[in-house]
Order: sequence, then structure tokens, then C-alpha cells
Amino acid sequence: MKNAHGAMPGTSRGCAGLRRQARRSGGPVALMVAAALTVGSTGPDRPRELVEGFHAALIEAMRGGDKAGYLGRFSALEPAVTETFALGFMARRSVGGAWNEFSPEQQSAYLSKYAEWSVATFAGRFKTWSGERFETLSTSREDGTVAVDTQLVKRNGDTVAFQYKLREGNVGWRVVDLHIDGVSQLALTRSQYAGVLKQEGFDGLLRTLQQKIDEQRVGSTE
Amino acid sequence: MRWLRWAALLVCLAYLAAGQDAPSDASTEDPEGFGDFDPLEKVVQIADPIQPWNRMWFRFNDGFYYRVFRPLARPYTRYVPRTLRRGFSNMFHNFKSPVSLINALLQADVRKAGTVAGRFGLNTVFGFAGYFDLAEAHWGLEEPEEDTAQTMGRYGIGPGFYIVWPFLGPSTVRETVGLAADTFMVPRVFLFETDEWIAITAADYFNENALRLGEYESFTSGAIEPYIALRDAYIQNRQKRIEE
Repeated sequence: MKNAHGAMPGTSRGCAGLRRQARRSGGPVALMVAAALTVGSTGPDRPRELVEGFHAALIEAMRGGDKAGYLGRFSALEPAVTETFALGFMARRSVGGAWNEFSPEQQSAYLSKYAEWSVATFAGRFKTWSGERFETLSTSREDGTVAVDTQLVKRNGDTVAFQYKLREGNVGWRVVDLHIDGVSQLALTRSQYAGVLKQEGFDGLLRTLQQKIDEQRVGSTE
Repeated sequence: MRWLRWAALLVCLAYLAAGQDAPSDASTEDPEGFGDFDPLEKVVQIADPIQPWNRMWFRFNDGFYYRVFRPLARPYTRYVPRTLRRGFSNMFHNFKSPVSLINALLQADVRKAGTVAGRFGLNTVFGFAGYFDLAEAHWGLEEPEEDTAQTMGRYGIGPGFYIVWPFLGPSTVRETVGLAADTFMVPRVFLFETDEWIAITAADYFNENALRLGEYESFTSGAIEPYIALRDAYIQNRQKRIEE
């Protein structure tokens, strides 16, 4: 859906048009509306800030991991994951063309389960803190995609490369893929989902996701 | 004409409000506004025509890992200090320097070749035959790992199809040919009898994988389809190393 300036509502171009209009008309209300629409969506350092904010949430969840338990970590990480990752976009890309074959009810159920599985994966993997830290190494831009290169430094000095790929959309910057040690997690998800969908269909995919969520919970409380 | 500007602004605001309340069919398909952007368009795919064979060896390797390797590696990592195990790993890597050197030269990468030669000299002389990686610790010379499969990839040779080998795990036609060539670039093949260098190679694999104990189960337990996840992660990882 495009506005009168040919830009999506909420994008910088759409807001810029609104700001220009406000300056010309001198209307204070319009200036306030334009400012409100701009909050939290732009800025050259925003991708880096978003990733570092997510890392801070992960470390915080790990620090209180033992005491909070799986459910506590899940609750703590849920807002961070949903505000950092473009979960809807990633969910649709994960099933590729099959998305269009889902009924609206199935799409809704799948999106909800995908989001739960995403948060559960982080809550299950980042259980306790033993001196780990994240370092941001660099930020680069290519064709509208910003790559934020970071690394997880373990206590023994070993490192794991985390590269976040971000795009700016209607709701500001969001992570659209995460590469761990050079491996696209979205690509792994897509190929695995394709296999499950082919063999077990939609119900099988949801059942498998629920099983993985349960495994994360059980594995975290053992 | 001041009223006209205000009218236009009101229309614009009403349009925005309507858009937020009632998204069109197009925004349902693309609510984030990323358009046709596909983050996976550059991700390599691999042919897997012998999948039943591969899955058989995947299950074999998985069983070997849990029934043989892990029970042996656990006490090894518990009783042998990590610094010692890291030292052994450094020595094995040092012995394999000719593989990286030859392939860096074949790729006409003089800088990498110089780094490999420098590391080998410094670590062999001052690092007790490579036990200590002084070249990286004191001179910042990080190890550039190059092998024949990467060289083949750099010259445009495709991976062929996916193969799982017993004990060795994921591979491709290109990686298999490359590994065979690498074997003959390592001096231990010429310095020891066959049974001796097989034992040394097995010790190298054991020590190297023991340093990563826990990674395999962490990866496969989180995977929805471990065979596919391992295959695609391997292919992506190798592709990245070719591109670097």
C-alpha cells in the first residue's frame, strides 16, 4: 500500500514527504505526527544498536538463567526477539511457495508457532552465563541490506561468528537472517521445513515445531 | 491556496490511518515492506542423488559419535588439560602447513602464502615444533587455512554432488578429490609407514573433534531434520571458505 508520494506508510520516504508538507503548511500538528512516525525507524547506527540491544538482552537472560528457568528466559527474550527479528518475513521465507497454499487459519497458526519456536530456540540455547560476551566487529551495507558482524567470545577465548543481516521496512530496521559461523540459519530452516512439509504436510510441520519447543523446555530444565 | 495544502495533508493522514487499520491484500503478503527481497538468493544448493546411501552413513557416523567417540572423548577432555590438547592441535596444524602453502600459491595469493611460510618458520623454531602458536599470539599472523578443494572452487570447479563418508562425515565430489590430494601434501605420509600415519591421522581427528565436543549434539538436537541441517551447513561453510 503506497501513500500519495508513492512510498509505503511509515517508511522514511513517506515520512519525508509528510515533513515537507508540514514545513510548507507550517502546521504544528502535522510536524508532531511526522515526528511520531519517525521515532525508532531510521538512523545509520540503528542496525548496530538493534543488534547490540538484542545481545544485551541475551546476556541479561543468561545471567539470570538458572534462577529464572526456561520460562523466565522465554518471557525475558520474547520482546527482544520480536522487536529485533522480522519474524513474519522469516516465517514466510522459510516455507517458500507453500505459504500461498496455506489457508488463512493455517497461516496464522504457523506464524504464531514459528515465533514461539524462534524465542524457544534462544531461550533453550542461551541458558546460563559463564563469562561469555558479544563483540561488534563491523557494519557494512550492500543493496539496502546491512550486515552487522559480531562474535560471541566464550570464556576460553573461542569465538563464534554471528552476522546479522538487516533490512529497513515499514516498522524500521529488522533482522532478516542470522549467519552463525557463515551458515545462514534461514536457509537451514527453509531446507528442513521443505523436507517436513513434503513428507508430513502442514500438520506435520506444526507438530515438529511443537516437539522442538517442548525439547528446548525439557532440555533446559534437566 | 492555503486551504488546499491543509486539505491535501488531511487526505494524506486519513490515507495513513486507513492503511494502518485495514491493510490491503498486498500488505498482507508483504506487511514488513521488504518487497521482493530474498535473503537466500545467493545461498548455494547441493545435489543429493545418492541420499539413501548418504543417510545410511549419516546414521552410522551418528551412532559412532555417540557410542564410540563421545565415551572416549569425555574422559580425554576431563583428564587432559585444554592447553595440552590445544598444543597438540597446533602441532598437527603446523605439520599440515604445506597444504595451505601450496594451495595459497596455486591461488596466486602471495600474501597468504607468505603468512603460512612465516607462521611455519616461527612456530617450528620458537614454538617447539608448532606446539605454541607464537606467530598468532605475538605477531598477529592468523592461520589461513587453504586446501585443494578450495583451490578447485576458486577456479570454478563446482562441488558435484553430496557424499557422506564413514568416519569422515559430510563431503562432496570436489571435497573428496581435494582431500585425497591434501593427504599427499602432508609430510607425514612420506615420513612414516602406512599404519603409522593412519594412527597419527586418527589421533589428529580425535584431538581436533574432542576440542569441539558438544557442538555436534548441540547442532543436531536443535535441528528439525539433522541430516539436511548438517548437509546444508557443511555446504554453506565450505562455500564461504572458498569465497574468503
